[in-house]
This record gives sequence, structure tokens and C-alpha cells, in this order.
Amino acid sequence: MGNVEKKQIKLEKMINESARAASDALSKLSDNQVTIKVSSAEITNVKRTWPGIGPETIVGGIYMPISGEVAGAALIVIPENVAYALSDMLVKRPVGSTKKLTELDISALKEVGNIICGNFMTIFSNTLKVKIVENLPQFTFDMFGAVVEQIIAQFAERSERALIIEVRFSFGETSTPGNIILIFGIEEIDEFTKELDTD
Amino acid sequence: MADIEAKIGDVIITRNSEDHLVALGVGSCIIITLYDLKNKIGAMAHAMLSLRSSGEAVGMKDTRYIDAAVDMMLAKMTSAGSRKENLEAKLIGGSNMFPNIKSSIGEKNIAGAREKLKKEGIEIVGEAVGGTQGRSVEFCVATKIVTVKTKF
Repeated sequence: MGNVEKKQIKLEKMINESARAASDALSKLSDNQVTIKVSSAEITNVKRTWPGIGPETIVGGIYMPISGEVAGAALIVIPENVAYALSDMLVKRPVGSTKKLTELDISALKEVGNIICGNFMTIFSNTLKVKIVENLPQFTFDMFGAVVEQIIAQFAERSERALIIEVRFSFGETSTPGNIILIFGIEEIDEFTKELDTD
Repeated sequence: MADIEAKIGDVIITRNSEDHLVALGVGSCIIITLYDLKNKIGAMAHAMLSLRSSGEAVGMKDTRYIDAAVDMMLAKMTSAGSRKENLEAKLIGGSNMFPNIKSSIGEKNIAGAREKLKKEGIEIVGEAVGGTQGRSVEFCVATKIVTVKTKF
């Protein structure tokens, strides 16, 4: 097995561990069985289109600056229909009832973002042996292209690559109708993940 | 009629009056449109980064930068017969999508575009810049009208 494949396996292991930790934390918070299933994870260029998401597609964006021994930001992109479904599940409304996000919904989504990022960052920090400090999350609801530009432009002079993870949420038997995209933009992504290169 | 999309780093010019130059879901990036009033040539650039530092080791043709993008627009338009004195510009974009976060990317892009166009002696006749919303832009070359759309 080549070094690239070995690194990918370690990366996926770290991310699955992070997803399990975030699932446990969200289950406790919501008093419900929450499962975050990782669909894909890779270090690659940040794009302005995604399957089913164009630059004008309305999405929820939760943005969290990261500091410490690394400089960067986490961006959680939640497609509109997924944000509504997630809000229904979080605030225990019948699925399909949300048509517009209220302050309560936004607050709940930000808290989810906080928990996801917090758990992922803790595992990343321990695995990669890098001190990471998270900052307060911010929320916007706007066009995908505009939201994702924030993270592309921030690091574009060095690299347009980021750690990109797609996940799907389940609350008991009910799953969100699409993926949520987690983008971890770190200034020196290869340096950040170099611990995964070691045997 | 053809919609031609300018993605990040793209510089597009056309003299086909049926063309619409578009940029979709623009946040902190800046869209610069130029229109040649005499020859009816339209151009659009989608730049992401402000001016290059002097001596910075980046390629002259990295049109993700505003100054390189404008240089490229002017080179292409001049080749097509335009003269600077017949050009007028419009600027769109430069938002800060997360206003509670200190980010000067959008502001720098607006300032950089204004500075570069002033240096080139090109008048800015319209702007829809700043704020906290994403925008989509459509430049109709036949009418020289630039339409800006937000989510609401």
C-alpha cells in the first residue's frame, strides 16, 4: 500500500472517530439518537459547485475561525432543505414543517455547528498533535458561491485546498434529505496533517 | 443569446451584442465590467484577491488578482480596437458574508478595484458593492445594463 493510501486511511479513521464523538455529543444534547455518517473525506480544492448545489443555491453557512498553532476556519454548508429538516429534528417539530428559519432555528443550527466543530477539532488536535483554538460561530443564509468564497479567498494566496468532509445526519429513523459539507480550511494543510504521514 | 459565465479568475470580452456575461453567487469577490461606448464591446472579470504587493512572486497572468485581471481586460479590449477613453466601468461584489467576523477581504477588493481603475483613468459609472449579501450579476452587452440579483 502506498503512502497516499495509508494517509487516506488514517484520515478517514480520524474523521470517523470525530463523527462518532460529535454524534454522541448531539445525542446527549437533543435527548435523541443522532448519527453523523461520513459519506466522503478528502483534502482537495474548494469548489463553487457541488452535486445538486450551484453557486446560486441557497444554503446555510456556519463559519468558525480557527486559531492556535494553525490559522484557518471551518465552514459548515447546509443546503436549504437539509437546514429545514435539521431544524425540525432539533426543535422537535414534525419533519417538513419548517419553511423559513426562525431565530430559534438559527441558534440551534449554530449550536450544532459548534458541537460538530468542537468535537472534530478536539480529535484533530489530539491526533495531529496541534493546538487548535475555536472561535464563536457565525451564521448566514445566502447563495452557496458567496458563502464558500469566504473560505476560498482567505487562503487563496497559499492554497485553495482544504479538508472537505460530507456527512449525513440521522435522528432515530429519520435522515436529513441530503449531505452537509464540512470544509476545514487551514493555511498549511499539508503541514497540519503531516502526523498522518508517519507510520 | 448566450449566457457566458465568468468564474473566479476569468476575464471575458465580447463584441457580440447578443451575449450576456454573468457571474453567479458572488460574495467577497469583485466583478468588474467594462463597456466600450464606441465599439460596443463588453468585458467582465471575476477577481478574488486585491492588488498584488510590489515584487510579489506571482505570475503576471494570475487574474484572480484585480490588477492582473484589469490588465488582461485592457489588453484584450485594446486588441479588439478599444481605447481607454471610451471605456466605462461598473463594480459589483466585495461583501462580507459573516459581518461579525473581522474580515477585510471584501473591503480590500473594493478599494483595490477603485484604485486600479483610477490609475488606468477609467470612470466608474455604477457600483453595487459591500454589505453582507451574495449577488448574481448579469451584463447585457446589447443594452450595457448590468442587473444585480440578491437572494430576496
